[in-house]
Amino acid sequence: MQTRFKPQPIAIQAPGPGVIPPCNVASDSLIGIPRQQTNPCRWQGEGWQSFVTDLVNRGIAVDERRSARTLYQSDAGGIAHGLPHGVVVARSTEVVAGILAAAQQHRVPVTVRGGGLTTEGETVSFGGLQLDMRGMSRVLEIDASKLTVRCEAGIYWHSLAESLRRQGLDYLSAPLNMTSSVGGTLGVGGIDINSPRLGCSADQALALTIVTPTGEILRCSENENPWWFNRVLLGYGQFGIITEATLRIRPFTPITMHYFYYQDLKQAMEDLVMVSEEDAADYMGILTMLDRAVNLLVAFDSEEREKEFFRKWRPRLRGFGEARFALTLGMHYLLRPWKFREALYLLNRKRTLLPALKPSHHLRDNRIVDRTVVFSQAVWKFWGGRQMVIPDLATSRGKFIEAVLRGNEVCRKYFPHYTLYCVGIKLIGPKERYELSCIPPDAEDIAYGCEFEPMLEGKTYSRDHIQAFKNEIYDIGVQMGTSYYRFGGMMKGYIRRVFGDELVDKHLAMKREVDPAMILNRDVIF
Amino acid sequence: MLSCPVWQQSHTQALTMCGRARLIANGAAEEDLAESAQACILCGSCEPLCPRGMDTQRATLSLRQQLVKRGLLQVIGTHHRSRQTGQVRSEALFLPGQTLRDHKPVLEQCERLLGNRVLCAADDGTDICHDLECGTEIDDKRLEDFLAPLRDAREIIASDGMMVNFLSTLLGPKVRVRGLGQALLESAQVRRGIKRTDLYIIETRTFNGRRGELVMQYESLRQKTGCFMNLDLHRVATPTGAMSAQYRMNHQALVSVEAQIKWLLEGRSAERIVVEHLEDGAAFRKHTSLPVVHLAEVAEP
Repeated sequence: MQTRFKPQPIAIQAPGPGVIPPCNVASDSLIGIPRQQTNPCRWQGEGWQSFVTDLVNRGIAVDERRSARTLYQSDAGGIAHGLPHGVVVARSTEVVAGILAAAQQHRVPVTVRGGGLTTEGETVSFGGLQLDMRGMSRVLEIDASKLTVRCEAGIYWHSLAESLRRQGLDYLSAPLNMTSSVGGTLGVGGIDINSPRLGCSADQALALTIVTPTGEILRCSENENPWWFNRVLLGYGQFGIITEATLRIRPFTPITMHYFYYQDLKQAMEDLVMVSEEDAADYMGILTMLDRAVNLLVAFDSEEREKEFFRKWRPRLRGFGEARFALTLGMHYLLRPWKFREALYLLNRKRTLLPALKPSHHLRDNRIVDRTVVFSQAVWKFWGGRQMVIPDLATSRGKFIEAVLRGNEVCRKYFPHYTLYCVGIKLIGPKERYELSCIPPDAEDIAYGCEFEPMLEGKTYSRDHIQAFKNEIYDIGVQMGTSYYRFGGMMKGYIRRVFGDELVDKHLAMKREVDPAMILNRDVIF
Repeated sequence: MLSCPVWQQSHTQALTMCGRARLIANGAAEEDLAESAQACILCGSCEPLCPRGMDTQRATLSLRQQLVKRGLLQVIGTHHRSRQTGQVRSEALFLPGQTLRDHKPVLEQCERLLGNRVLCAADDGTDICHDLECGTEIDDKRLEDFLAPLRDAREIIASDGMMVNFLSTLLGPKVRVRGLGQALLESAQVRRGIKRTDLYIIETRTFNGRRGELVMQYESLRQKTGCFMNLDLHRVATPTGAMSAQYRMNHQALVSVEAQIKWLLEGRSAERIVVEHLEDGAAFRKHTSLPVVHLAEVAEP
């Protein structure tokens, strides 16, 4: 006879430091079914208490309050969710070193986070310690004569710009997102619309202070510890934590911006490649509204460059100016009245988006000041939301157009509206730096990338729908042998498929050597 | 969060508006929000940047009220009731606040610039603003006594940003409520008096609460005069922190006014500080040796 189950109340007490609280799944929820971890390799909390005690002895307090931990439960992608056992806001390189040394000894995973702008859960902890680097956000030294800045790595690019601007200076290139941190960006690449000229953000770094996974503090650059320098830059946080960075900077200039409109995505991409490879503009990229409304934007730091562009390169571009494009498009929809919804969507987009890209309080003499603020705010307003869904492909020039056209087909299949953002990336670093990174192995001189961003427009899509969409984009990468801007976390299954066993095993062996307990950003790549 | 002084000085997300919103969304207990609610200086710098378009100042005020009611938040301090010497009724009223009343020459200059049609109200409601800021309950009768003469006005000018926002909400669109800085800048005499080497300190609570409406007025002043302003790259006004109840009441504050002033002056070769609010001016006098003047004092004849 079956015995009736009598639920036993669990006495839940406030745990002391380092004590993992009891499982909050009700005792009667899995009657007769033993609870089983489906991934037996996953860290189960072993050593946490002794780790916390060790940190306390080193003068490092771990915040284990649930309220503090829940702040880190997801990332910008909003799909991966997890909770750390505790949080430390880093305040110095020595604190970071102490944490990693103790974590290595107690085999406790440490997940590092800056702005948390990952989309695949790379900065989400599934247990272990969450290390918030934003506590290290100081600008340490600006050298206006050498055009360099030394700063702590947790600083947002935006905050760095605030300090630099007071001296009439600016950083070279950074992601168009206000809450990207310097360290996080250097660890993955960092793309801006001037990347076709200046390379990715990681290539701006002249020197770094890092903490290795065993807790050693190292200074590194091309001349000092170059192996570490090239492994940590674009290394997805596998080989060390950047705590300070010395970056190249430049004098600040307002920019003039021009938009050219295309009805054909392929043509626009060909022109983008031409403009990028001929170094015809200072900033360049593609933003699409619809397949029939593709925008190639170019911008200039100086009048001379602008004039030269219009004299030499503009006649070769096939895109129209705004008036002619509006006329052509108007004719198109006039002959196809059943597509009025599409026309309305475009009109609305034009009405709201274009003014946001030219706000009067950021204009001086028709030039945009604070371009990063303008673009980042537009990105927030028009492409932001509770979830960032932006799978991407990073390709060599030869594969760029086909990859984007195929990705565009996938977008069309899954979402009524979406935006493609395409930009080039000048390769200015040594080749070994780009191994197992967003730079595809077959790229020469300039690599190209495209982000495929569905407009979620307040609708709720199932996780399966979004995941299936992303997988289909990533599959194109596997089939064509490209790379991705983002390939860690939940997408790490693609890493071996796209980079091959030999390269991945080489990096795994390096990782094992420098991080014997595999504690640093576990499950992001390896 | 980017412009939040609490963030800039602590780099602790939980203490920011963004952190509070996330904690609430994640089901945090009220007591977990107390430290964060207390840290806020209500400068409104999060409001223009909030991706959700939240009325962040109001959200923090109502959270404080809730926490005080439940005994989870210590009241910053009590403010003595404003003096009332009879009610003044006019189409246009000026609420200078206690600090300005204590500086008679500046007050008189303000009145001169605002013109004869604007009358100085007898009751500034400073105690109401203080209670509001601290989360203590406002007595209904006291509120009604204060509001009664204001309801007849068509225009109100207040030097306290908290009052500007409070009255705008309570009196609705029929009454035009403005900050003192905004009103004084209408005078060409005042605009002419601002120099290229001035650091102009905007009263942040009014500006950040109405940034969309005010940003061009200030941006064009900056472009015309070439002066420095306490606007960051987002065109959000950076506070000194001196207006907060924590600072006024000498209460333990997370935002250091000295650090704010140091940041405001960093990389700016200002020779004079021009303030819209005297409390900002007092803070500059305390922490710098630069000459400090009220906006009304820069007016050229």
